[in-house]
Amino acid sequence: MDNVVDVDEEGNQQKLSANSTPYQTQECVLYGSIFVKNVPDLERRLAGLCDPGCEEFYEHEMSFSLRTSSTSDVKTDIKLRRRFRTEHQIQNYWQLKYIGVPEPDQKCPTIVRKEISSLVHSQDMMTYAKSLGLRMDYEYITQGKLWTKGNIKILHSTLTRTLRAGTYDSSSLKSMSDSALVEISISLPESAEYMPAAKSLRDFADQLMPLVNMEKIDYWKKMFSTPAAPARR
Amino acid sequence: MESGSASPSSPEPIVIDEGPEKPPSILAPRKGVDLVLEANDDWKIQEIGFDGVEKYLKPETFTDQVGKLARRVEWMKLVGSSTPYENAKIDQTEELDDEGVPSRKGEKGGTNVELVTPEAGPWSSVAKYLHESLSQLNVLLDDLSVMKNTDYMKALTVLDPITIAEPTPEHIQTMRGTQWIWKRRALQEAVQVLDIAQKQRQQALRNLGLSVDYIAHLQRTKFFEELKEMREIWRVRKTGDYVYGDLSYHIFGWKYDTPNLFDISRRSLSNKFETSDLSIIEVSVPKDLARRSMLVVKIVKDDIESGDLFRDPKSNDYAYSYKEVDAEKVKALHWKDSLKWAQNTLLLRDTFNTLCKDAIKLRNRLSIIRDNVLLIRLFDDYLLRFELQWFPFEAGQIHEEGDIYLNRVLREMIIGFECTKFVRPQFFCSMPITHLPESLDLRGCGGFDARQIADRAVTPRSILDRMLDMAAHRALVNMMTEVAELMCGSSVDPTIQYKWLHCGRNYSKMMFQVVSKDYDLYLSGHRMHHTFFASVSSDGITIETKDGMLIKCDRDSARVLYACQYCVCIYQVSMFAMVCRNQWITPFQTLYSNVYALDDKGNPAPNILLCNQAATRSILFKFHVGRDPEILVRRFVVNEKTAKPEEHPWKKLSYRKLYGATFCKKVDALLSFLRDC
Repeated sequence: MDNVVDVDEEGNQQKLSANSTPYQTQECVLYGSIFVKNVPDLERRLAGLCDPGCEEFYEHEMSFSLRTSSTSDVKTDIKLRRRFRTEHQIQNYWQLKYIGVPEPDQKCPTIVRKEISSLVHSQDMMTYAKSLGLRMDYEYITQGKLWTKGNIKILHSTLTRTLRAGTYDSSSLKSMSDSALVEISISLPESAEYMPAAKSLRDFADQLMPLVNMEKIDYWKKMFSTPAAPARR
Repeated sequence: MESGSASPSSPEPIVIDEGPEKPPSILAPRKGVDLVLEANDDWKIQEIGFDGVEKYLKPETFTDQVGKLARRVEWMKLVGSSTPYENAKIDQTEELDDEGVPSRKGEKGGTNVELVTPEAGPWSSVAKYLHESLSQLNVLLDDLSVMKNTDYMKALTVLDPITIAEPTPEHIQTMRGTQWIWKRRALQEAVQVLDIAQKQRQQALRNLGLSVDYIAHLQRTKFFEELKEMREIWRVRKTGDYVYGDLSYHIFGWKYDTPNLFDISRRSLSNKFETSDLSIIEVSVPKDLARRSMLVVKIVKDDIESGDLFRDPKSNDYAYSYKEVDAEKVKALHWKDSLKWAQNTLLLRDTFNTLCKDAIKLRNRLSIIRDNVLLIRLFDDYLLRFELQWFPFEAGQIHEEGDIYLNRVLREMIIGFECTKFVRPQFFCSMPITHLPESLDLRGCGGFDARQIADRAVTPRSILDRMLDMAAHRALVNMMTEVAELMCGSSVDPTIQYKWLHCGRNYSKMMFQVVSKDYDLYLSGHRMHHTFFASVSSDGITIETKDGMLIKCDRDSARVLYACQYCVCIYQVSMFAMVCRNQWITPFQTLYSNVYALDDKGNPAPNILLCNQAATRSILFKFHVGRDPEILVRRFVVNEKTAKPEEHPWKKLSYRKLYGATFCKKVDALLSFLRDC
């Protein structure tokens, strides 16, 4: 076997050996929204800017929270996500995601926050969640397309919710608004420098400018100011 | 002093009081004179009636005068024809009837339906003349503008009318002269007009009747059409006034990098409407890419004795000076060619750099890089040589050197690498994108540990790695073909044919078929030894027989040949056994046969021992690889224990001297000889 020396020339090139993929626990995010009727324009622009090919997704996300018994203010949000495809019923695969509080860095043009996600395989996820002590806050269904450019991930999706909890057939689904949510993000390894990545993310977001205005939305302020209603993004 | 205006003045003596203090008395004698006051001018008498009453002509009073003057003023012109007579402030936009009379609001004063021009005022004639002269001026201006726009009309000067209008007798002598002068002047002006006309006609002839503006318009449309054509192949962008394109070949990743841009400008063609071969788009190419290049791959043998350098240091092909590039010459080429060549140069240059970097990383393989040549060890004595060649940036055929198959394979791999997306989104869209294979997404209950993930991860191999494998395979395939040709060409009996069953980049398989002429009927049954295979991989060649015997020959062509010949020997054994099974003509019994037998030197020598039906003779055939078979005949040994060896000596027969042209015929003849004796 030839002795291969790993020489990393450019910082933004993906290292292609498995040994050097660190676990990515940080992400830089920007959010924006666009009217659903303008989504084809956005798609055309993304087709021009991004790497070729896009992927569709149709997923159902539930947000749970773990409240410690002492105070009800401090709560930890855990998000659970499952695939909602109708062709093959892969019902046993779940994604558990924890999103942390964003870093209070004023100079950074994007939201930087800790994000830990893992894939879980479980027959009976709800029982497990309940036994963990997680209570469901809200849920929604998201459907849209995913584009990539290098290691920048661009999602645009429409959100729907179900009128009756538990049933997810098309009759009880109702769309939440006539806007689509646009999210641009980069995942970074833990304790890596996020400024250059954030800057490149901001530069990319500026190219979508007249169609979508991507912003660093201070959702945490809204969240903590009105503890009763969880303002979700 | 008049007393009242209306009453006729009757002379009436007026008593003037002299002093206010004295009381007036009629009796006092009056001093002074009698004054009689009369009007200076009387009213003129219009007529005196027969009764003595005089009718006077009343003079005009002030109001009469005002009335008279008012009637002279043209009110319509002052106020405007649409406004009603009395209320001038009413808005102008009220509706008008068919006759143009404002319907509702003007009812009070009423308007003049027929517009009667009032009598002209004292300045009216001046106004009229002014108006006339202004309208004449308007006409003049219109004429001038018409003349300016048409090409065939020109304003001529008019000769001073005064001089023409007054031909005094003194001028009669000079009249002719002046006439001639005038005529000449007129003619000159006419000549000027005709000159212009002629020039225009000539230009029109050249431009097929088209004006300069139209040609410019045509050029502009042509520019945009060609730009559209260019956009089908190239990425073009406009920033401000600056149009440029991108020469980079990457699909994923960032585009429009500054060193790889080319400028687009419009070539200023002359105003002639000629269809020239030059395209209207001029393209400027970065100076370091302004050359044609080719990446040549070749397998060379490391010849120690040759003494030649693998790259001639004196050759100037590589020595490329950036300053020598003539930007104008580059612009003169058609953009289709120049952009294609420049991008190719960029691609090959980047590939060569990647190959060199990969070569440095492979520590266990020796490689040499010098300027534009990379030599890397392939196997044994062979080296793989990559050379990046430069050619001048001109049209013309470039002769392709090196191994064409390897050139093509390299190109295909480069393009394939560019088109491969190494990162992919995970099963759930909100998970980070990854380059790990998709099978690791849904891991199931067990989950994998780091070692297992590392095992399953697909480590993409570099282009150089793949090229080395493919080049090694190619070299071995060539060698195999040579061996096969040699063997098949030299072997008349039996006839050996070869064909490729499968030809791939890293693995190929060849099939050999051994046929004996005229003995095809023996093939019908048992065909096992009539075919054998050679499989060629990147590492070596393996000869396989149908019964599963593998002979590893690595990369040695002599061994391959030996192995093939060995397989032919095996074939001969089985043919022999087949022939002697013939019940009617040559019935012989096979006593013993060993395909794996070795001779006294240890080389493989399959043998077969037979005896005839009468059990009188036994024949032993030993097939040596690459040589004629050894034939030994003796009397059949009935009882091995009591037989004396000297009574049963092996008699050696010469294969060559046997009757028969082919092996099978010889065997046939021999067997038929020994059948009954």
